[in-house]
Amino acid sequence: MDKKTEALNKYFGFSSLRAYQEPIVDKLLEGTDTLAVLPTGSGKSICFQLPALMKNGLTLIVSPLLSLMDNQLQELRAKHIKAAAAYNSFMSPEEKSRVLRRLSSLKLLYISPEALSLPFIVERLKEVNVVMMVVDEAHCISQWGHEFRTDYLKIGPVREAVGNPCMAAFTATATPEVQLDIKKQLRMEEPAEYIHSVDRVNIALFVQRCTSEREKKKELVRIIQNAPGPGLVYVTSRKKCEELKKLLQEESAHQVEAYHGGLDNEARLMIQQQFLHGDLDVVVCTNSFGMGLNKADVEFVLHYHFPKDAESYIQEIGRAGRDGRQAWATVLYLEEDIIIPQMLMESELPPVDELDAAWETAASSRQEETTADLINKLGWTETAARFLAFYLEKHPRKRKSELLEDLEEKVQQRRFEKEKKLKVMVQWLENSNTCRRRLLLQVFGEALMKRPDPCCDICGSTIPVRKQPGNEKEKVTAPWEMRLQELFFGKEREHE
Amino acid sequence: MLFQEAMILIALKRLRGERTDASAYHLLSGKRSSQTITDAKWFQSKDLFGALPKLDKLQFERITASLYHRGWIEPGGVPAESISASMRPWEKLVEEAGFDGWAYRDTGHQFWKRIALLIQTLSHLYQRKKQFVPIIQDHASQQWVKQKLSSWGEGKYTAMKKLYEEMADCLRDMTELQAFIFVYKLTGAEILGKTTEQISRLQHREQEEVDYLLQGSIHTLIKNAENQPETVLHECLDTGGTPELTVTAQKTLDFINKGFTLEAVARSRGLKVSTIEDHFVEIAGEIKEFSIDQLVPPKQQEAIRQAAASLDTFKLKTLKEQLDADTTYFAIRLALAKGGQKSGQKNRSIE
Ligand SMILES: [Zn+2]
Repeated sequence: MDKKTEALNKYFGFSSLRAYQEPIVDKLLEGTDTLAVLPTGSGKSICFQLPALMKNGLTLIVSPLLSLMDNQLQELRAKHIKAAAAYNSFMSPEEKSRVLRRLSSLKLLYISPEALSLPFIVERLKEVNVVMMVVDEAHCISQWGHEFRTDYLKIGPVREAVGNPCMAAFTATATPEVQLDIKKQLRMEEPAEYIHSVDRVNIALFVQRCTSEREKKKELVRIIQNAPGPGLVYVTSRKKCEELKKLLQEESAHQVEAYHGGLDNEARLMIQQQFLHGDLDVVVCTNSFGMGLNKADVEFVLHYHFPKDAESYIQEIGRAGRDGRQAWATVLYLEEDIIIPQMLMESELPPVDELDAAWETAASSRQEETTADLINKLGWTETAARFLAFYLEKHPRKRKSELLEDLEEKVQQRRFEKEKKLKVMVQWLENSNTCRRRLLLQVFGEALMKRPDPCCDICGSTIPVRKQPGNEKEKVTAPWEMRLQELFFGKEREHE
Repeated sequence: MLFQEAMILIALKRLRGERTDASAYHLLSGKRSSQTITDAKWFQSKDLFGALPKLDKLQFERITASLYHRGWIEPGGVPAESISASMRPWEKLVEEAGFDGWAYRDTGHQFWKRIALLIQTLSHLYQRKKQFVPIIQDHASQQWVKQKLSSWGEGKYTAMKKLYEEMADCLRDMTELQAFIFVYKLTGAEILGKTTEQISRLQHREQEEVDYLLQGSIHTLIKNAENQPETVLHECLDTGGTPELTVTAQKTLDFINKGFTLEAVARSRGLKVSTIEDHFVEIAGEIKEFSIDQLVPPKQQEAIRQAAASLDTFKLKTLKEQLDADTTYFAIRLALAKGGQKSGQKNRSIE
């Protein structure tokens, strides 16, 4: 057995990698910079976890998503891999310093981009042997991408500061333009590139046009009733989440729960586990659910509200059909819903008429507190505040008037980009004569090579109807004595 | 009558119109202040302390306003006679729940996390299932479980069976509903726990009530465990419980122990004298060894306690009017805090 297979067996209990994982692992073991565009849920994490565990030294994994960090850490812990930790702003000071103390004994450190840009962290990282840097959701580094995060721009300089380790960038969705930007910003030199098609051939695509909220609800109930799941229903607000959950609990025969940021940690974890375990059929959720959730048999993704761009759409439907079985995605399209992504877009940009006030606020706060002050004093969203804080930090000497003018232009530019993306999304939804798959691939500069069957509503496919006996819900709840026994000893020990 | 309404009514009934409505709010939301802690003690309401931890001030005011509006609360701030029959089942529930937020709120959270994680871990090991996502993410609890398992070594399955028997015994003494809630919250190797909301749907109860009953069952388990040093449940407790003081009162106590007078503590800490007085009252109630004889002559203490007993009131103003002119409010509060245990408690009956 070669070393790679041995390590794979030891840490993950597999005997071989999948065909597309193999070359990425090899390149990273060699120390070659690598850019990988892989569809979500394709087992991307093992591509960097395995080399990281085999190398002598520390691998930094920059990830913007807390839930993703948590999930990966949990999975590693479940596999008894101890040399992994996370560092982010949601940890307590004690937890943070514990992680920093054991840095030299770690192999994987999941770190948020904000934390990575802190000077004392960089100093501490210089003291240990950083052998590799992995950037997850790498499209965030590009302002042409759909989720530009200014903190990502600091990754390149940090790379240099810690001695230019090998760099790996991963993303699920990147247009050719964004790919170029990633390579430039991360200072990658002649990287190995593995660009997979964004097309998920086993997911059939549907759009259903509705003319009112009422009709949308009716459609939702009808579809869910005929689709036993497991499935996800995406909405944009907590309130809607709860409302639709109740509706589906009453009107369908399935086990339905809601998942959103308003739930306490315990309930969130519980619902996630119940869904993974198969206790739940449908989860109505905001788009934070499903990130990094490794559930292979999700049969459908239903968008009750449509996403703000094609990239988000691809990412979200990508949570279906990971086991390779036939799955489907549908959008219930209501024209008025466009207000939701529009408002979201506005909230993520610094308001142009508040730039002056923001400058004053920033001038009176310490650099590391600028973002927090903008959020608290002006009520900006985190994204908007970071945007501004970044530009102020980048141009400390510019005159106020010049800076504000500059900023306003930047904001307008961002808005223009975002509007363009939203327009593409809406055009895709309104399209009624071209294959949806072909059109979607076009956005990512790809051509449709082979049309799968089923393909999309325009190609004549329909949402599958799978009637399920309607009394699933009538499961008897066991008396507590029996439940307690099963908790401890499992179901076999019945007559002991 | 909804659970939150009932709890507010019960709190007001216990306070007997001798405190403001806001005191009921602080009591139910479990605000750790000197005043609330002494209220919980004087009015025998530790079983209400922190009973509605998620209730915010606005909600409280909205509910109380509607209770006044419906005539369920009389203008004097006590529940109307006409409502007492509908309150009775709720009072029974409180009586049976075993909830004691005053003594066990924090211990309870910790105890729960340990038990839940321990059971999940043991059942996975027993059923030979290795990988699982810990249902409790808290680092300290995870460390604790790890240490426990390694200290048990080969004996872990014996401990597990013992734990099972102990829990079953203890749960049998609770109400059917409470045992159900507690057990359905737990996660094992094959079955996942339910959320509070899911249990509330299964049992057709409100979420706040389910939460209260869950905490009550946890507090009951702790109380039992405290008295049985041989049990596995006892091992899940932190040994050496220190009296519960608020952080700020603890600081004041540190100063007192260094020989500072009340005024000197106020000056050194830069706090108002009245604030430090609150701390003194809290300390007097919590720490048995803390003598107040220097502050209130024993004779005066006795007079205060007698007045409280004969008038059957804790209303400070009424007591002050009855007592010698040189008896301060501070003296009354100190004496009651200290003596609330002996003379006060016996003369009062819980309804
Ligand atoms: Zn098509």
